[in-house]
Amino acid sequence: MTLLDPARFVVPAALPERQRLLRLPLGLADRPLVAAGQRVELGQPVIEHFRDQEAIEIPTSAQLIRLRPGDILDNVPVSHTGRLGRKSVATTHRTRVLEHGRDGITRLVAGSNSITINAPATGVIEAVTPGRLDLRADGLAVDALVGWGRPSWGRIHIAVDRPDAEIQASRIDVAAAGAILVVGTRIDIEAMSRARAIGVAAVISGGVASHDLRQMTSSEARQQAALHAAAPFGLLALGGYGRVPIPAQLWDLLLAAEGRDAGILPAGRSLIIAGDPGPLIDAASRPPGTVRVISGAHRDHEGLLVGLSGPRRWDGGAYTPGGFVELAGTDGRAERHCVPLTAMERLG
Amino acid sequence: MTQDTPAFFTLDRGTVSTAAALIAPVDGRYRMLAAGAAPQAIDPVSILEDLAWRVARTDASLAGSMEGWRDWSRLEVRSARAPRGVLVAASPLTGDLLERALSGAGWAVAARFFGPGPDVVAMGEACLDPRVDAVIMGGRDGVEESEQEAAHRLWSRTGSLARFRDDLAVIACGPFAERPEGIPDTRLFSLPAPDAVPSTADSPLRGAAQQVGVHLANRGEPLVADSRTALRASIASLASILGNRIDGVEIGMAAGSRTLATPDGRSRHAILAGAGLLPAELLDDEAVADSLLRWSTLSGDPAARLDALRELTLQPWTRTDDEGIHLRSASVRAALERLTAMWSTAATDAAGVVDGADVLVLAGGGFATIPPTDAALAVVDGIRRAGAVTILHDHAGVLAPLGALPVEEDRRRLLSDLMGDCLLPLGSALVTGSLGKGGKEGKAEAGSGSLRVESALGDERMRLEPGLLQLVDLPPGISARLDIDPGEGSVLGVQGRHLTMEVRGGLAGLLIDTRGIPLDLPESGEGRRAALAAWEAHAWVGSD
Repeated sequence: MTLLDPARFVVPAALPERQRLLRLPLGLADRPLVAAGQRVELGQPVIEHFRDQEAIEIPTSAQLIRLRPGDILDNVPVSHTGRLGRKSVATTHRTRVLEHGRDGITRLVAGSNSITINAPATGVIEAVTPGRLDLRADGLAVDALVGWGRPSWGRIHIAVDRPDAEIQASRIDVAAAGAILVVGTRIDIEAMSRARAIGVAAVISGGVASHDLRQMTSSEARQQAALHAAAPFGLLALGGYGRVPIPAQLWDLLLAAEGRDAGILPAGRSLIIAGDPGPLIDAASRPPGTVRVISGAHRDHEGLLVGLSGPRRWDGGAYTPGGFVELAGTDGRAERHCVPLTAMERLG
Repeated sequence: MTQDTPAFFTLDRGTVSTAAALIAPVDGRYRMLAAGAAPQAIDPVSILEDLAWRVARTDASLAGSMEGWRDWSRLEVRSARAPRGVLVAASPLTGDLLERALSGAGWAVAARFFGPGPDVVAMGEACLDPRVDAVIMGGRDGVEESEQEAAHRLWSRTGSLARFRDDLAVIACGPFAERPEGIPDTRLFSLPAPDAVPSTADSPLRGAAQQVGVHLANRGEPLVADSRTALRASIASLASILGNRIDGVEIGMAAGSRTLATPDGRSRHAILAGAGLLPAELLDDEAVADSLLRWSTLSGDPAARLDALRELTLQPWTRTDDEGIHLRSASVRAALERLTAMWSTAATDAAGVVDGADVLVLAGGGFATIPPTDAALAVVDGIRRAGAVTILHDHAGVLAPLGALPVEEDRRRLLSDLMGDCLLPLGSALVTGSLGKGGKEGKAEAGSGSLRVESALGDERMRLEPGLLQLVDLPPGISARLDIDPGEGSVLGVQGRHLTMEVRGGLAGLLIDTRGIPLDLPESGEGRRAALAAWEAHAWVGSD
């Protein structure tokens, strides 16, 4: 039997993907602003989303029964009880059909407090269903581990000089308005609030603290209560929770993408970068056998996996297989370390 | 799979990891020659090749016979993520029966609408959640006319709301003859009505709901045997072979399951989505995360712990460092706590098989990387039941694949051969619960009892004092006789006479647990952490 290739036992890192299918959810009252087959541009309005919804009941009629659940029905009169119990009609509702009930009542859903959802990428609308809009995105999609906020778009601006740098609120200036800001290892609530206040479209970080997300969510809830909707803003953490550098291969990719237009879809934890994917993929590529340590003592170091150690006992008492990895030491020379295979991801 | 089968692999493919074992006949009986596990993203063929390669390198005489490994049979089972459903019923009672059947069949309940007039917008939004696999309507014959009418109204509404999504299944449980418009056959399922049985008892609906759930959760994947159903079969076979009551407890990432089987072939079983190791909800819901972290013995910044726990949830296979293992250990305890709570609820009205077992068999990825002593201790913490029990661990994930064998006789023969290889003895536990006060009018001091442990290693005597967890060294292969003297008090409900029992050793030894049932833990964070750390200190000796 021939020697086993050690790389086969290491989980491959998520690769950037061309032509990703993005799924944008529709609420019950939401309205798609595009049709299947239509080409859309980055930032183009695609969904009218309603922050508040209410049910409306009207008698089912022969005209209504032809409408299917999800279909749009506008100009539905709002009934207000007037003086002496007389009904008076003052306004109309914009609704979608929920059901034609067996009790002879058609139930509709009306939305209010609308905001616009914009396309997070240029591409083609592949499908529009009552509950979803599918967009086949041009460009290159990069996966994040954590997403928060609303779809947004802008040009990529690198705000730090290293993937493990931490940005201070004072370093975020108004020149970043409308940009997707790459901020290094993490962004605290103060810097995030400032970024949002000056009109940054989105933030890309290595990690994000759970307590910062909680504060952002509370802040979002307060803003939703306000009459006017805030500008779209979102966050993607490429490396996970806490203080985590941006993975080196993705940092290289982002450097190559600086100045390009991009969009984020937080619910899908996706960053979509416009333009030719080729140079970006080249920037992120690594030689065969390259791995990144993703947990433990050598976390976020890249190196070459040169062999398997077999099962062994690690600090903490776990008994799992390991591999020998050559990592660059402080003097730049390769140092060989034994690392659990499960604590690595394969880059090349 | 018969004695003529030369060698074969077992594969248990979970949502996070794959466990594999190489089994071959040696000297007239089957032996497990190698076993391993790897993250789910690793090609299973690589794992199998590694097993064959390791055997060939270990024993040169077998090297030649390993060449044909690619052609060997594979006994494969798979567990899927827990299917999620929105439950609808026209009355709270029908809804409760529906939920019992679904939750015992491994479904996660995303939302429930039980009553004649649910909020149509809330129901519609629940159905629109892309993580929901199906909207499930329950109805029964023989109920009041008003409920029947409401049920048919709701069935129509359910079908209408389901049309908002092209990937949402619609499941009718009960007498719904009317076909909802616009729902294709591939998304429409008709199942039996809910019965008044507990979630741990078999029922026509539970069996069918489990099959549909596996079908929906395995979307697009080739059909192989369901791991949890197969594990149940193996636990039942094991009970017959050993002549013992077996409690099989499985904690996986997506769900947990439990099987209580008796030697005469009766069993109770439930697959519980809420008993998964790291519920996805903890990424959004801090209360869920807190329910896990309250079992943690790690000190330091709570916010950093929350981040670490969420990291573990995103990539459960990565953390084999000290913090990661401690967090897994806390998660196992929390999962066992949830499993026990759900099981206890179901057991209150169950007939036939009562709780309690002689042997506890642990299975699933939840126990995979924590030290053996801690696994034994976690079970004693999580499943609080008075009595003595032997704890075994299906460390190679072999039981579920063997359960997929269609012929019971084959399974029993293989289990008999492989029991010593695939069931790792973790040890035994004697759990007394609170030590009762004896004497006249119950005035004697609790804790006046004593315990004598007699084994080939010698005699050991200890006082039985309330609220303690003590560890007696009793290695694998060694049995011990316990002689319990309740003194003036009572132990396990016995007073005034000695109580004797046999226990078996294991990697964790013998746990003598006189803590309360349920555990009496301090409410305050630091006090609780200190109490847990003191109890768990035995488990982590030499680990750091």
